[in-house]
This record gives sequence, C-alpha cells and structure tokens, in this order.
Amino acid sequence: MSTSPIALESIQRCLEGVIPSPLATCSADGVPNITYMSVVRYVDAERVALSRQFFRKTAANVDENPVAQVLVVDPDTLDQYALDLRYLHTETEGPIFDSMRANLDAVASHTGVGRDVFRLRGVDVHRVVACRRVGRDPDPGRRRDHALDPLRALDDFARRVGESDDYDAVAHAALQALEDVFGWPHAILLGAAAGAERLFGVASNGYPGSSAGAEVTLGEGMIGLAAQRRRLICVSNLARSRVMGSAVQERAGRAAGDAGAPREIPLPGLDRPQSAAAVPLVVHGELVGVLYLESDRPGAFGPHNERLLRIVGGHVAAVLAGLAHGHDTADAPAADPAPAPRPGDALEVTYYQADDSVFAGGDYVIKGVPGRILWKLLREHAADGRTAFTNRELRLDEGLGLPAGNDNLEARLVALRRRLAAGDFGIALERVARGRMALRVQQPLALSEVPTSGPMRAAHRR
Amino acid sequence: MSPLEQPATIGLDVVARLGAGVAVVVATPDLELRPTLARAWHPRIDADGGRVTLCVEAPAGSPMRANLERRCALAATFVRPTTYRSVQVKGTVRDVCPSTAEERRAVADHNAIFVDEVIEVGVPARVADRFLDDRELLTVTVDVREMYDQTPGPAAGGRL
Repeated sequence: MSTSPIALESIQRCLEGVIPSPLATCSADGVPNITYMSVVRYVDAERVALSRQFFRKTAANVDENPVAQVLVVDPDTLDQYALDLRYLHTETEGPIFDSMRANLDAVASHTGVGRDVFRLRGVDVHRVVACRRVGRDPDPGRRRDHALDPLRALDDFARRVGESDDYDAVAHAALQALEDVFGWPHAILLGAAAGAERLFGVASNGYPGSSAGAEVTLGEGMIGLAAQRRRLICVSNLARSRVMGSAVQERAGRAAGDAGAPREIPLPGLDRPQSAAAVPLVVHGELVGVLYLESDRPGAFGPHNERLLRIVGGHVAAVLAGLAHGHDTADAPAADPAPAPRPGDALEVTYYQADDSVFAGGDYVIKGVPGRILWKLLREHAADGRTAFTNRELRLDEGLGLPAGNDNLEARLVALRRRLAAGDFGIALERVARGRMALRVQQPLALSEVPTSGPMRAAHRR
Repeated sequence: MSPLEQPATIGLDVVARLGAGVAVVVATPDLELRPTLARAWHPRIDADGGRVTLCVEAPAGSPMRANLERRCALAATFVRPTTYRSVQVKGTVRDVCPSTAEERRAVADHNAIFVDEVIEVGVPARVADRFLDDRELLTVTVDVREMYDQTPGPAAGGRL
C-alpha cells in the first residue's frame, strides 16, 4: 500500500467505466454496505460523479453518513486506487447527468433491456478527500502503449480528408484515415437528412459486409441515441454491459429484442465488440450523420478520447456538409457512353409504393428515398434508354420528396451506389463527374409497380 | 471440491452457487464510520453455516487491518464476473489471524479461476493476475447476520 497522495487527474483512465468499481458506504449505526458502480466519472480535479441506479441502501447510507470509499482500477495496468469520498449533492439534470444518462440508455438499448430498468435516477457528486494507490506496486514492464500525439494525428487526418472533392471519396478517405491515423479499424458512416426518422448506412471500413442501405431508427441503439440527442456516446466495456444486461434481463423477466423486420439490411458489426463510440455529425446545429466506431479492445473509447472524437466528427461533418452544397452541375447530362444492355431475359424489377422498396430479380435492393431515386432512374431508362443523370435534376424533382435544406442527396447516392455494387443485381450507378452519374444495366428491364392504398398513397399521386 | 461448494444451513449456499471464480470485496468501517475496501480471496462457508472465512488483503498499517483487529462489522460481496450474479453478506468479524501457507496456495488457486473469468469480460490477459496482492493476507472469519441479492436490476438489494 502506498500512502502517497495521487492527483485525481493523473488516474482518469481509471474513471472510464472499463472495470466496475466497488463503492463502500456505512450506515449511522456502523454497518457497511458495498455496491458496484458501472461508472465513476471524473468531474474535475476534486470531484467525481457516481450514477444512482439500483442502490437504495447506498443512497440511504450516504444521506445519514456522507462518507464513502470507491476502489478504481486502471484498465491497462490494473493498478488500483482507493478514493475517500464525501458526498456533496445529487444532480438530476445538467451536462453530467445528461452524459451519464445517454451512456446508460445506450447500454440498455445495446443489451435489449428497457431503459426503465437501467433508468438513471440521479448523479451523486462527491468530493475526493484522498486518493491513494492500493494493491500491488506498479509494474514498470507493463506500462501502457505510447500515447497518441493528438495534434499530429488530427493534422494527418484533416489533410487526408481534405484531399478529396466528392462525398464517396471523402467517406472512404475518412474511414481509412481513422484506421491508419488513430488505429480505429472498424467504422461505419451513416447519413441523415432533415426531418428523417432514420439514418442510413453510407460506407464502412473493417467489415466483410457492406453498410450501404442499412437503416437505423432515431433513438434506437447507440447510433440512434447519439443522433437523436446530438450527443457523443461511448461505451467502454460492452462485454461487461452485455453480461450486466443479461443479468438484469433475467431478473426483470424480459425477452430479448425483436428479431427485426423484413426488408432490412443489417449494419455490419463485430461479433463481440468490447467498446464502441457513436459520434453525431452536426453542422450549424443540423444532424448530417453519425460516425460509429467499435473495437475488439475494452476501453478503446471513453472519456480519454471524447474530445478527440468530437473534433474528428466535427471535421468530417463540416467537410461532408460542404460537399453537399454548390456542386450540382447545371449542364445538360453528358453524352451517354453506356453500351446497350445485352439481349436476353429481362431483369424483373418491382417497386412497392408502400415503403418505396425496390426488388430486382426477387432480391431486396433498397427502400426509402434511395428506393425512390432508383425507381426514377430505372423508369426513365426503360422509357427512352436514358442512362445519364445529374444530382441537380434529382434535387429538383419534387416527386422524390427530398427534404428542403439538408437533403443529404450525395450520401444517399453513395449508399445507393454501394448497395448496388455489393448486391450484384445487374444494375450499377457510376459517378462520372461531379454531380453526374450513369446508370448501367446488364439486361433489359421489366418494371412493375405495386400501388398502395395505405398512408403513402397520397405521396404517389403525381 | 471448491471451498464454496460446502453446504450451509442458513442459506449461504447461495454464495457457493455463484461459482469458484467469484470476485470478493470486503468493507469495514473505522471508529468514525468511514468505510474502507479491500479485496478478499478463498472464501469458505463453515460447516455449521452462519460463518464465512476469507483471506483479506490487509497490509500492516492499513485501515482495513486496524478495523479487522478490533472485530468490527464487515460487509462482503461475492460477484461472478461472467454472470454479474452477486450476493452480499453482512456480519461481525469473529476471528483474525495471518493466513497459512496452505491458505495462500488456495488463494492462488482461486485467483487462477478468477483470472479466467475476468479475461472473458474484457480484462487484458497480460495483466489479469494483478488484481491479487497476496503480500499480507489475514484470514478473517465472519459471523453472518444478513444476506442480500445484489444482482443488478429492480430486485437488487432484496434480502435473501
């Protein structure tokens, strides 16, 4: 045991929730109590915040005897520290509360446990009276890896992202730079449009499957919550969250999450990610997407790199938003260089008005706005053999229902292009120049449209 | 047989059913009711039930050692890392003595199983054995008065 005092800011790595922290309190009649904290959050050099969830006895003890001790552990070295605490107050709103609530909601959503079960009742703020090392002496042979130089890394990242001038290339450059510069090899970029209830997968890195065409509902899962609340969410130990979620679920008698609806393209993902971050991409207060990162290493994302993630997200958002404006060509479509489809059996393509989904050869392709775009292109091609299109004409086509303002058309086209490429449907959409694209089909098309009598009927009267 | 698989007569077998790789943490108060924490190992349930014996990390000069030596109140949690199932017992320290060589070997065995458990929930294997500091262990027997279900969820804190 070391009796030397330790500065709280020097052990922030212990305060990221990677390893659960036992908290001891004591009643006024001298009976101790222990509970495990998911997160002991660093507030400043003198204070920490503890989540108040299930811990009735802890709350009662602190009310009558406001002293406590918590044991925190460095996830890289397993060095342990005892913090002697004095309770100050409980917060039920404000930035600390909101941040911890978003994290817990994300864990609840990730584990399939209802948010009411994981509900954050408050955040107890404690003053750290003393901080000292306990347990084994530090092992100099087991120090953590050399820390990243954040300024150098951000400079590299910004330069690589800035070298490209179209959405697809920027998305690719950003995802690749996340791996090369920061060592985050698994990432997904999702797009968002004004007023939309869903995010859509645009591009991904580090997975065998494609994210293009996958959708995430606002408010659901880490990604949906980060988008809905415009708040960065990091979960530093998903393995522990899964175990905890299973325990809670078992006790609460809850069933696992639903099996998912048909006509869904799943987001790619690691089988058992250990930590993850969902970074909302916001420009001028408007959500343009989410950058989702996951790692097979616990603690890869957490308070130690939240600022870095926010800067990375802010830069990607600004670059992508800049590309979305002022790049439409007003020129007529370029001359059609495409060869005519090979003669043969027609490719049956069906469009369902009810959800704007498109099927090719019986296989689901895409739905929603990208589905409407694809259907427009295919219809015009079938009518007169046209293959050249511009972003501008899509943007001006009211029938597509693109939202005013941030329509994120470029992201939708990237998603559509990548989905067509990944699915090998015999249909391709190629970018031929800034704001211009060419439709390629390998066979003659046999198009059919299934009308709807449901709520979407009015949208298709044109 | 795991030391935790021995029978108990007052329900302490709930602790045994958590498995052999449990994380054990104890808390004791000082005379000013300030709590202190320490890790503990090699838990055993006494045959007549009602008692738990643990090897507690309690270095000379530490608040934990001082508290134990005056036979204070004690709480101990038993948590299985891979399931999060948890039990807390509360009672009073009955006996304290330095851990024997045999007990220290049992502590090492317990730690080996515990290491496998924590690696499964993401603790790096290269450091997973560093939870244990076995330099100064005290063997502590506790008369258990109360027992609680600590598994996270709405029922957490319910008396067993």
